[in-house]
Amino acid sequence: MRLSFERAYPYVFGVAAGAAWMYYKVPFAADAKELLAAALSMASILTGFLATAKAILISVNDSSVIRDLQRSGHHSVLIGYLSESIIWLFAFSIWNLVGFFMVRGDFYCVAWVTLGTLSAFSFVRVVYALMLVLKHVAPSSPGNGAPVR
Amino acid sequence: MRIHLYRIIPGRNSPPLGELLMGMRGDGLAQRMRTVAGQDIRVEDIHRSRDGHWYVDLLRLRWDHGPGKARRTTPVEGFELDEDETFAEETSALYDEATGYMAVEYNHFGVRVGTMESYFDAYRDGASYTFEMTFDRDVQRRLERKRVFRSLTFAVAPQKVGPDDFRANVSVAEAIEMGRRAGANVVTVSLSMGLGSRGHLDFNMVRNTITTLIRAARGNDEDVTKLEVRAKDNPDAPSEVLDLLEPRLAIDIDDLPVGRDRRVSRRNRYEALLRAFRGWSGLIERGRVA
Repeated sequence: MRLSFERAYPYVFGVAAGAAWMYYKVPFAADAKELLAAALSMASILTGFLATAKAILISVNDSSVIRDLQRSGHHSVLIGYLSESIIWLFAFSIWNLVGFFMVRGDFYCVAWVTLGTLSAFSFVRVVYALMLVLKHVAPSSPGNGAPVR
Repeated sequence: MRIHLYRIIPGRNSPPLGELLMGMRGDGLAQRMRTVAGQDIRVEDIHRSRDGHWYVDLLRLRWDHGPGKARRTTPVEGFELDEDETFAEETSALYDEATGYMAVEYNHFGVRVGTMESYFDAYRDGASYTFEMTFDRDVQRRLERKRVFRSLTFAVAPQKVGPDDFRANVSVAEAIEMGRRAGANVVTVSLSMGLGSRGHLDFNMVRNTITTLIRAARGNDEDVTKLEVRAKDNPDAPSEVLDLLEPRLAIDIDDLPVGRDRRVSRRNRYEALLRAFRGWSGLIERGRVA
């Protein structure tokens, strides 16, 4: 996968999903409030999970894979993915909350689908990268660069 | 305490490091904080002595797993810290403006030289400084006299992904996978003529390889972990083994007292840096530092 595509695909899929929803005039769920409540819960949980993921990333800061990513410039991009995902999931949570109070017309529905798809793919993107980092991180062994002061 | 010597080379449009340090001295603690590669770094203490040396103490705030406390007879336990409090690791340095050399304390958990470079680069827009490792020229001179190479051994931890990959539009996920697929952490290569053989390795090949690897090592690249050659001045001379990384200028000072807080005081660390730098001053003046 190219970096430019990796950076763009959550937005591409989000906009595409919203455009498709609008084009095919798909009706919103019949029991919208249950859906909004469930989506709000899930987005909130995932946002909290990403905050934990940030702590995990900090804990492996001294690993060789993170040093390589810092050297290459990919590390700041990974941090950017984490931030974007938190922002879009939070925005999706707020949009679900708004849905309880406003009339859910076409605009609301298309925006809901766009935000939901964008949030989901941004989450998948960052979690996939983090899982790869965790698979890569190996425990340090004694005698191999023992700390010196 | 291990201390290394570096030559500081400012980038093309960068002010002299002394000028940057002068400006830094006027800033408060909070103003000196920078985030470098995800780490919170700041200059904790900075001052210039009467003999023209800059003393700098850098700090890394350590938000990852920290130390605990224990006795010989009790289990380890953590520290009670406030929400915005954490452990801090110090790395001190002595910079001599006149020669452009800097003696730097090595602290495995503190501010490494690569991070220090990035911190100074980030401090002022457009500034760039290279910390070049230094070597004793004596080994270099002995190498220059060698005409017959019998063996060459080197070990490299290959950089699995680098800036070239970023420019080549390699995604983050693929960059991580490249590191995993690379396999061995260290690649060791040994070329030799073998016992009983009277031949020798190709002179140009060996010299070019050595030049490339020494350049990589001097660029503060931790990837070259061994570089050794067995060679002779002429075919009838005895063989000599030269460790081309060993003459990297470093001093271990082990007699530093530890206080009740289990830390070596800043004053003692500065004094150790001064001792080390004075020991190297003669080499610097005689041009024996490469």
